[in-house]
Formats: sequence, structure tokens, C-alpha cells
Amino acid sequence: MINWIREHKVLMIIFAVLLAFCIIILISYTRGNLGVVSSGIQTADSVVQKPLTQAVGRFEKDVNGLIGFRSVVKENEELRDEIDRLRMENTKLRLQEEELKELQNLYTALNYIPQEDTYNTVTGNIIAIDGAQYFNIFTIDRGTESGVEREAVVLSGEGLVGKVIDTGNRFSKVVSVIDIDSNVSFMVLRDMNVMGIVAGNGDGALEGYTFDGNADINENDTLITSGIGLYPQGIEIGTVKSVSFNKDTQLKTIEVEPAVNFNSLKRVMVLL
Amino acid sequence: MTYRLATLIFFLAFLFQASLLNLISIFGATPNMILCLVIVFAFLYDQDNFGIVLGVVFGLLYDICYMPVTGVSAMLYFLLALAVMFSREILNKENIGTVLIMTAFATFAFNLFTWCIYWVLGNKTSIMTMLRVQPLQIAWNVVIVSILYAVVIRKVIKHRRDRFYQ
Repeated sequence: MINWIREHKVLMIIFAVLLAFCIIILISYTRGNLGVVSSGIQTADSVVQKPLTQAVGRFEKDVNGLIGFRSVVKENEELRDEIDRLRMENTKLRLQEEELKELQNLYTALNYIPQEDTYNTVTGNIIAIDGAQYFNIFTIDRGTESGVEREAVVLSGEGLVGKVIDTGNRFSKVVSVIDIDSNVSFMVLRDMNVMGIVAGNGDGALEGYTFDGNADINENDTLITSGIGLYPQGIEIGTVKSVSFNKDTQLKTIEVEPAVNFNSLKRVMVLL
Repeated sequence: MTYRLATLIFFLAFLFQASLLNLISIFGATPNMILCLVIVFAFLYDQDNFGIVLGVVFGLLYDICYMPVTGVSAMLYFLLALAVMFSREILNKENIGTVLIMTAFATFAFNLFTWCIYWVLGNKTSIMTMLRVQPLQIAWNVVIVSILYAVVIRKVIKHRRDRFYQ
């Protein structure tokens, strides 16, 4: 046996390296990350990546500005920010209107204490995006130093972005809501009794189903988070693109266009 | 080429992979710079093991920083570099067509095995989603490898197509 190993040194080295990789993969898969070393490497990477990404972003903006006139680009950006702000405000107001109606009915019967929005937020820039097209993971420049924790909810002015899956000093890895493994409980803004689940379809959009096969859900309905599970209530998820009835499951299946344009996403907000 | 220079090239590729290269993304497909470097270095350098060593190191770094599980890319770079190193014994280095065909196969193999491993680990992405992006990804990598090959071959073989050169 020992002679055989001596005669096949290269083969044994390859086998040992592969075995080591399998162990690393299993540890990483079960633990989520590789501890302090992994965290340190990611922090160092975020420190180097941040100025590079900013330079790339500036270059991209400059090129766009040269092609499409600087002033128009600037004005467009300002308007987009304004639209984002107004959209969020609009969604909040519409939610508040619905809540108000319900609360007015309950107010006299119960000793109701109004629930305030108690979330603090921190804004982060996207500094890196993974190269594999089917994971939808990106890195932001905010981490534990800003109070970001694993499972923290990430959103933008347009709506729900995703959640934090790993964090360390000056970095957080975020998996977007269009990832195939992301499940979000939703309700329809028009009729909040209609609820269901959506998940990424692997193609940049969302697919899901309603809990009730007879649910009143139509194309162009706006979906918001229901508050069941990780995501707080009232964050816009997207707009229903198509509705069909699945005879096998006896449920309505839907295709949803995400509210957030992930291709142009540069900055996000993390709920603490 | 020295290890220092090779490491610097891999490091720049690692940095640009997650930032600069997203600017030239076509329908979500970007070139895999580390894979391209692994192929070119493993194929062209007989004496030094730049491709395999740096492929593993930067594969691990890439996994740690950007991927959900550590070790998958590094292991595949290792296996592909080995395959390229074994194939260079029977293939003609000076024929760019050989390298480009090898790049196409290596890109497909890398993405297929990445998908397979993640599928075993519970990722539910359909194989069609992975396959759909392959033509563009292969095209990108072939373009990058042909550029890298044109630069590196001058350093490796001083007298190309010289029938008197031993």
C-alpha cells in the first residue's frame, strides 16, 4: 500500500487536495461562512472594492452624461430620486388609509395603542455583484459597524430588495428577492385579504401563488409584503403581470414584475 | 513571467470581476476572467504552475467574497487547470484554435459543474436558466482568452513558427 502511494504521488496529491476542497465546501455550507478569516478577507475586499466601484460608477455616469447630455442625466437622476421618495410616501399613505379604516372600527371596542414605525435605517452602496448569474447576491459597504445583522431587510425607494445573508466589518452580502430561494409572503394592496407567496423564478422576475384559489387578484395589482415572516408589512414587492389558475394545486399562480429595477440598483437601505 | 507579476494579474482580474466587468455585461453574461487566466497560464507555462496555484488561491478568495458557499469555484479551477495541463502534452500550443476550443469546453464544464454542485447543495435554479446564458458566456471567454493568448504567447515562445527553433 505504502509503495503504491509512493509510486502514485501526483495522484495522491490530487486526491488530497480534492478531499480538502470537499471538507471546505461542507464546512462552509453547514456553517454559512468560514469564521474570522473569511470575515477579514471580505472586509479587506470591501475596502479595496469600494473606491474601485465608485470610480467605475463615476466613469459610467460620465460616459452616460457625454452621450445623453450631462444636464439631462442630472435632472433625470433628481427626478428619479423624487419619484422613489413619492412612491414610498404614496404606498405608506395608502396603507395608512386602509389601516385607519380598520382601526376606526376597532378603536372604540379595544384599548388600541397605535403602532409606530420603529425601524432605524442605514444606507449602503453596492460595491460588488457576483459573477454567477443565478445567485443574485451582491455586496454593500455597510456591515456590523453600522449595526447591520444577518437577516436584516434591505429595500430601496422603489420597494423590496432582499435580505442580508452574511455580514462583517464594513461589508454585508445581500441576496435579492428575485433569487430562486427567496420566499416572500405578500398581500394585494387593493384588497389586503388576498394573500400568498412569491419567489424568484431565476429569470429576473417573481412567481407565486395565492393561498385561496378563488382570490380576487388581477393583472396590474400592486403586491406588498404581508408582515408574515421576515419582512415587515407594507413594502412594495411588485406588480402582477399575469394570473392563471393551476388545476393541479387548485390555486391561482401569478407572475410578478419586481418593483425594483435590479439592473440599475446602486444604493440600498437596510432596516436595523 | 514571475510569480509576483502573475499574482498581480490574477488580483486585478479578481477585483474587476465583481465591479468593472458588470459594465460590459450582455444579458447578464460577463467574462469569467479568473477562468480565462487559469486556462491561458495552465496551457502556456510548462515549468511554472501559475494557472493551478493562483487559480485555487483566487478561486477561494472569490468564493469567500461573492459566492454563497466557499470552495466550489476553487475546486473547479483546480480540476480544469489539471485537465488543461494534461491536455497541453498532446496539443499544439501555437495553434490558437486549440486554446479557443478548450476555452469553450472549460467554460461550459465550469458552469455546468457549478450548477450541479449548488443543485446538490439545495439551489433550485433550473438547468435551462444556466444553459440559456452559456453561448454568451462562452463567447465572452473566447474573446478574452484570444486577447490574453496573443499577449502571453509572445512571452512564452520567442520564435513562433520558426522551424529551426528547438
